[in-house]
Amino acid sequence: MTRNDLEAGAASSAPVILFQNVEVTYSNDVRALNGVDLRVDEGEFLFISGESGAGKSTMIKLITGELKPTAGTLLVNGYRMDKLRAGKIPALRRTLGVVYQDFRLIKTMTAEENVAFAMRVFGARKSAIRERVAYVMDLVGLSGKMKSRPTELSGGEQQRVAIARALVNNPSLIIADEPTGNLDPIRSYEIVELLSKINRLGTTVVVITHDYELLRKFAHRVIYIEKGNLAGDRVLRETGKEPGPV
Amino acid sequence: MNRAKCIAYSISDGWRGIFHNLMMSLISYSMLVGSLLVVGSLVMLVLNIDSIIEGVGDRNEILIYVSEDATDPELETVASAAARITHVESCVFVSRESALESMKEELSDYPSILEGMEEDNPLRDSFRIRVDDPENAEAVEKALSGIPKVEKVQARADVIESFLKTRSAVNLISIGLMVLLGVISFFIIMNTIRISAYTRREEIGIMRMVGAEKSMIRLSFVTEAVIITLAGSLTAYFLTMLLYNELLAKTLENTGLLSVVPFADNAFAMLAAFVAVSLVIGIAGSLFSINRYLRV
Ligand SMILES: Nc1ncnc2c1ncn2[C@@H]1O[C@H](COP(=O)(O)OP(=O)(O)O)[C@@H](O)[C@H]1O
Ligand SMILES: [Mg+2]
Repeated sequence: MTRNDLEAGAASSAPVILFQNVEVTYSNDVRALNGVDLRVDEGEFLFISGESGAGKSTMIKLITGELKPTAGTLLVNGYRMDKLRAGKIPALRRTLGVVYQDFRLIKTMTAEENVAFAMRVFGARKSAIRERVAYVMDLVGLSGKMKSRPTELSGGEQQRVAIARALVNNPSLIIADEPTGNLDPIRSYEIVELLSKINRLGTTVVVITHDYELLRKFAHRVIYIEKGNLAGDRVLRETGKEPGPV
Repeated sequence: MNRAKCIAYSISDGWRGIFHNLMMSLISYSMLVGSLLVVGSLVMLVLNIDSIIEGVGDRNEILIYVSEDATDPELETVASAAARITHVESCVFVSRESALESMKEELSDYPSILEGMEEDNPLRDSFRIRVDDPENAEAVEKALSGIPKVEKVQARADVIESFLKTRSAVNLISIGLMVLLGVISFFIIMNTIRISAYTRREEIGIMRMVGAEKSMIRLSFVTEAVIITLAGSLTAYFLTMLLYNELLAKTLENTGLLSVVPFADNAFAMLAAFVAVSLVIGIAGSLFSINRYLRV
């Protein structure tokens, strides 16, 4: 899907994410986002790229409801984030899977328990948990490491557990903030490959990365954020083509 | 999302929290047991003082004892002289025989004390004088002691006054201690839950991230606190009962002629109060400390 397709209204379904002139000013007067417009449709895979401090994580915080836009409108999975009451945030988050650079696994729990945890807090039945956890652990290629604790897993494996956890409640959207930031190039490639596979299975995926190597290798849509502005939006179809602001 | 199962999960999570953090849990528990034990014992003490005050009689009464050699006409004179005093409402004669009878009745549980009294009654004839107002008791006492053949004037008000003074002192100390111990227990519970929440802050963050309701996370910590405080209050209740029945009541019975207030008379009220206090401290203490971990 190209930008032109989007403008032509090619996507008939409602957008999964829709930023309209979104501004964010932090309390210390830092203007993190400066009127961003962005539309992400169901089934898309989107890279968000840009320099450190450009405002990428701020966009993730807006999507998860950690932060409210200072101005503009924001729609995520049908929720009006700019008007969302605090009490509705948990319901929104249940429609998302979030993955962070630092994995955020509970160290005292095994891989399996870490994933099951995300289902147990909603009171899912034990049998349902067992079945679903086995499925997602298999999907991320960690069937053999169910009983391992985070300290016994490599960085790449820990990130797979985190992805399994993000997937376990069957979200319609997965967002990952620099999921490869702590990984070597090969593990990074594998993680994005895994996220691409999940995307092919029907989940919308948004990945923040400033790793140009990855942008080059995967032919997904890329947007560039520069000092709080959307500076470029393009699809790389040919690997090896130098990406950059349009 | 299954609400009931969610609640069940939060509660079992709270239960696990106690063992995660066993040392702090035990400290809070012991602190609460100690505090409530002190409070419970003080309450029992106050109840006993109250019952003594009731037993001694009312404050409008003055007793006068007449000398042993007083003749019947002399007794008549004493009676009429006493009745003439202003503020005296009534004057009832209590013969030494009837005094012994009523004493027998009161002390029916301790027959040994009365041994030999039948043959040689040590009691005196007396008059029971009613004063219109305890305020005037002192003046009446003075007037009574001026009557010939009156050997001893005993205002019950004095005795009662001293009991009342003791009682209000004990009350004051009890209330002060209750407030102090309550506040201390509250802060200890608060700290326990704060530490528990701190050690589990990552877990809380992840729960929030995956969309757990704040109320469910709160419930898990409230459960943790309430289990500790409830266990503490029940232990304190049984210890108070044990301490009172086995120690305090036995000592009092052995030393004096006082009838000790049975623990059972107030058992339910005390249990209810202990449980209520533990719930308030547990719920308030945990809610206060958990909020800062729920901001994300
Ligand atoms: N909580 C915050 N309070 C104040 N300023 C912040 C906060 N978070 C981020 N910023 C600032 O906002 C800008 C964008 O940050 P961020 O979105 O984290 O950038 P990126 O993820 O692209 O590196 C930066 O200048 C950063 O210093
Ligand atoms: Mg960032």
